[in-house]
Amino acid sequence: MYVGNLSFFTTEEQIYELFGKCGDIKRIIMGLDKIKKTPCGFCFVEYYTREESENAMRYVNGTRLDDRIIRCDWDVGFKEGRQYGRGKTGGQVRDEYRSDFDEGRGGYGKIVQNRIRSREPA
Amino acid sequence: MLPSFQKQRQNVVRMPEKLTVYTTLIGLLNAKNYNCGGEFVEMLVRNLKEALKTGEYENARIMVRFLSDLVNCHVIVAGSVLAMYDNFVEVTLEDNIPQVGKELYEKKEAEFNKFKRQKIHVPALRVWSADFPHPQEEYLECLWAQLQNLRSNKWIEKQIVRPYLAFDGVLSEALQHTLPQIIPPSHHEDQTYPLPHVVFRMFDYTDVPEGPVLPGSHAIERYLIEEQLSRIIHTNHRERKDCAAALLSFPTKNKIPLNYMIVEVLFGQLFQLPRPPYLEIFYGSTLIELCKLQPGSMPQVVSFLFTSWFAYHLSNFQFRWSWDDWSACVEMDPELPKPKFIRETLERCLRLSYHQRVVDTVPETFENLIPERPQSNFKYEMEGASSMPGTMVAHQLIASIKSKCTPEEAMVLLKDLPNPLSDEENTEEGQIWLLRTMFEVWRTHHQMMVVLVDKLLKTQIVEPSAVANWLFSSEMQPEFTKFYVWEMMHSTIKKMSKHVDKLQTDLDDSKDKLDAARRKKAEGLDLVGDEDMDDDVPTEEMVERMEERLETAQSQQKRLFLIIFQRFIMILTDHLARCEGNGIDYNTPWYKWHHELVYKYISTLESLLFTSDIDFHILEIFQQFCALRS
Repeated sequence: MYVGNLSFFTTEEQIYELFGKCGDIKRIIMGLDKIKKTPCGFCFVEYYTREESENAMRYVNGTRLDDRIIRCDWDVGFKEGRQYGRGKTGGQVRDEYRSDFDEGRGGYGKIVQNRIRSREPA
Repeated sequence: MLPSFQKQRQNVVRMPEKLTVYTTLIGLLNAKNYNCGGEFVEMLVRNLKEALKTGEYENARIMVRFLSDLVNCHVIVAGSVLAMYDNFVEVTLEDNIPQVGKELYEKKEAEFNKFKRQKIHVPALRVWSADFPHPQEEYLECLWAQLQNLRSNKWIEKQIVRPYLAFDGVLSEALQHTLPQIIPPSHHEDQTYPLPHVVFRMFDYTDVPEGPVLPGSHAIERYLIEEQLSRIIHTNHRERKDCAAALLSFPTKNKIPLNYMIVEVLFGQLFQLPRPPYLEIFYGSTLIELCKLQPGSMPQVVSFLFTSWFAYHLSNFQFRWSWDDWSACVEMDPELPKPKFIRETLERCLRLSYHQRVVDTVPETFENLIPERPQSNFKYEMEGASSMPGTMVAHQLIASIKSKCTPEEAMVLLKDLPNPLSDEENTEEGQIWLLRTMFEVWRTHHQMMVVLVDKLLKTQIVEPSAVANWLFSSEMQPEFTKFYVWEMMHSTIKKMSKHVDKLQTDLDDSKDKLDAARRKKAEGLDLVGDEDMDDDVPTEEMVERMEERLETAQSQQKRLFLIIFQRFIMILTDHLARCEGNGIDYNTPWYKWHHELVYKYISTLESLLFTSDIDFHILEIFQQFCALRS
């Protein structure tokens, strides 16, 4: 199962606590920034049975963790390499084009950030 | 006509709140066409018999209610419904099974509700009722009181919608059918009956400051509304948003304090023993939806009941709470229920957020109730570690793991380390040693310990009995009243039971396959060739090995329960003796808490273990415990 819209600061332990309420967790794979190797706002949660992940879809999807409404989706299954963000800058693609300020996800989107930076006097 | 009847019947079971609409419809059909009504009654009776046979008591109950209501619609002769009730009651008396009794009692209720003028059977019920001396709060007792009240109100209630009253003229001319004899099946070994339960009450009318009055706890309306709310929950438990919306659009919502009743029913289920009907998080997420749909008007008293639910709830509302109301706790003995609750709630909040967040959220006065910052205590990285033996290997190992070494490479590093238990390999002592070391490192990080114990059990590095012995050991005594210890205990028991169940199912499956293959062979049908067979059909040897594994697991399970009970009895007896010696009242919060806890486990155990082959020792201890309580 894919979990999105996490804060960059949400830990594996927090995810374990919340998703553990829906069943026995097999493993959690934190989504990492390809370059910095730090959490970048998504993860995969694997349960032992389908019933358990259905529970997570029913009861966790759309509720809050670290003050953010998190999103759950079915996923085909984890493969090595998928734990990294696919954006050019290392994180998730959505964090490159965002134009709002999101404190939990590193402030403004990367592109906006670069624009702000280039405008600042050297 | 029959297919649409079938559909009707399904609707009856699925939407019992519409029951009276359907009975009216059948009544009108019957008035027009006698045969048509007869067919329907016949089908319903057939379905009822089937439901009783297969143990679908809830469905059976609704069908009986439907049949009863058909009396009101002039479809069925009143006397024949009474005969049916008599048959039910007879079975109850003969077999003396309280569970069936409960079910039947509920069925009687249908009659009482719908069947206003017939009172002949009341004495029959009373005799029956006297056979089951349950406490006042027991479900049936309560229902009985509600019915008594209904009777003294001349069988008039305000909750049931009765559309057939409007068609009285047409209906009263209809011909009526007589029910065939319906005899419920007698008791059967493998039938599971619904467990008796206790009515959960959080509110009375004084708790509802304004708006419609809450029906009293012995008013039949209370029961009828609760029953309908429970059905709505049952129908919608897979979709928390639909469930919340359906609950809030309850048909007579303007005439009752709906929010209070919803909260009471939800919590009643959440605290049902041995376990709630649905996942704990279902109740939590549904309550959140309800709060979103009705901001400000859901009763706020729901707080102090369940730490893990409560922390989860707070986490979804930015941890906002009237903390000041609880400030008196700070001064109290930390083992008293209120400070304990706050502490454990904060512990759970910590798990869903982080330490600084908790510190920032609660008022400063709560400081001594805030759990320690969870962190590891790794001796090989502390000051002075360099002089300790083993530090070098520890750092080498960390470096290898970071560079993703293979398990074999790690083993090479570990090979030369001295084993503190020298000769013994992987005995229970070794396992407890490992658990102790884990505690040393993660003492302040309770969640990590819970997860690690889980992993150690799953990988079978540690056995359940070792976990139990460790939890009861003297080093763990200071931790004994903390909830995480019980979380570990509970999850160990659960894991063990799951393991045994799985081995049992696997074995049964394999046996079935083997038998089927043998039969085929004997009939000379084994023409497909041996290759195909090898894929699927286990050999006799394999089945034997599975049997052995199951036996081992079962004896492990027994050992686990034995340890837990023995240690509990010891602890409680010690406590009683100590208090007697010092002349203190033994009934301290500590004692009550443990007593309740074992009691809770007992009901779980009963459903898990005391059903099949009971080990003599366990039974003995179990009885000891029960005696202790009396």
